[in-house]
Amino acid sequence: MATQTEQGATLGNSGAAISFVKLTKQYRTQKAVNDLSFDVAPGRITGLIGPNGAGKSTALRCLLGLATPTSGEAKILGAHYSELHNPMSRIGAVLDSRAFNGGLTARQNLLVLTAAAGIDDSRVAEVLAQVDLTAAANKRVKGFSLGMKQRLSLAGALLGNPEILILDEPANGLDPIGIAWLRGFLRELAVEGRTILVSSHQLAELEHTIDDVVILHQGTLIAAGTKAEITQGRSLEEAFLALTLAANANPGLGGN
Amino acid sequence: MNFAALLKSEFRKLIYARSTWWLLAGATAFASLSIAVMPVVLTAGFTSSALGAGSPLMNQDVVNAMYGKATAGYYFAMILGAMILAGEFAKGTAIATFLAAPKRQSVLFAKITIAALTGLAVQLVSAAIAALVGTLVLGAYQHVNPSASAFGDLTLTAIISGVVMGLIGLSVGALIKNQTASIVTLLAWMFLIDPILTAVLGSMQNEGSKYLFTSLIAGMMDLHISSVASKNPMSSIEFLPPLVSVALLVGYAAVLVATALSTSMRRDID
Repeated sequence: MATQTEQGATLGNSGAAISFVKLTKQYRTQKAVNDLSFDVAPGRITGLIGPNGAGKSTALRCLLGLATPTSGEAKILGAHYSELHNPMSRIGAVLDSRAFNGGLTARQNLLVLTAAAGIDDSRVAEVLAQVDLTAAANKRVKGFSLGMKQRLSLAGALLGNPEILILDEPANGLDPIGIAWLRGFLRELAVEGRTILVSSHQLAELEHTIDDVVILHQGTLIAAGTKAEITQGRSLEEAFLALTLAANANPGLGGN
Repeated sequence: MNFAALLKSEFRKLIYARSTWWLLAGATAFASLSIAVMPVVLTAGFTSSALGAGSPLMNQDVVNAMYGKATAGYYFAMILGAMILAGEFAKGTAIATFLAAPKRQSVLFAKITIAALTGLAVQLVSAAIAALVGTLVLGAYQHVNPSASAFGDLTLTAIISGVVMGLIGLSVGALIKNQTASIVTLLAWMFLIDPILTAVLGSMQNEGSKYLFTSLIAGMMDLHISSVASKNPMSSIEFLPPLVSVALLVGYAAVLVATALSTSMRRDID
């Protein structure tokens, strides 16, 4: 039975905002993601964590229709991303901070997106203000620092004022000030009731931000649950290391 | 997904990019130079006193052919076509594009439309300016006027060559995906491989040479002179008639576009 969130989103039968069901993605001989199944509950911040090469980005690319799963499926709001009508107004995604044309200004890059998604151009100034980039709106992106590019990516994701945000390594390359800014920013978004799925291998950065945890290791799910269930009084880093060591010792075991 | 919205987005990408304007300027300069040197070259062997009735510029077919050079900027239409899709991967913007509009077929059809329109615009603008330059240069020589239909034929040639070359560029960009490699491939084919094949096949009196890319383009460009096929300077084989050349080039473009569509629909975006 589908349910409605406060923002009017139709959820899948499980009530999950995002669901992965037996998702596998194989590149030639290597399985990047192996039989991955988990749900993301609406209105919560879920951390998708794992070391580099764990399959986090591949899983998110399959979720967003950028890569075709070898088997299984991933759905958002009960549908495949490509089936959603006007997806940018419901889902915002940051997958790569280089996803903008360096020769264009920040404003021009966002205007390209508003045109494609049928979003009013007035949103461009609003989201640039939201990520503190108003002063750089008419500067070419190739002159931006990595932190500014990350913020511009977030601005792009927020153009449609989406109820779900999917962020892949949003803190990559950020300095401590940038990471602190990002943490506060994610909290603000969560307070507004948005569902956020954020991937990272920087555990300290996520520790105080997330509600739920999903841990991937070598393409396989090794743990999923609330932060309290997973950490059991330890730090997130300690819990992660213990779980990955256990997974290395028993490579056949997935877990939840 | 609203197709008009996708066209608007693609249009914005083009007009915001400096490279678009540089390539348009390049097409205009190249076409203008191609036409401007013609009177100089054609009258090079003539003394000033001989420049009169015997001058090649007193032959209307020659003057018509000179104006035909105004469409020489088609290489730039082809490069712009390649950049419309391959540029997305070179700049890393493909992810944002397909997140904003995940129905790939719609995005690709919008790009096909924009590539055709861009090629058309580049050719019309560069040909119009080059024809004006040609008229100014020709004014310094004794000459006959071009035929009454010359400018109509020139416009038709610019439109057809712009659309076809824009689409061929887009297709090669979609197939190769790497922007630099796709542009180098296009130019290498046009300036190196195709002429070598033409010369080799021509020396063997092989009729296959007239079905090669550059021969078809040369045949297509003859629209402005007449419907009579002209000779390939690199072989004794005649070019195909203009309309047949156009039909074959459109066919090549259609096959390339279909192949590009099928590969782009299946490909993972990274």
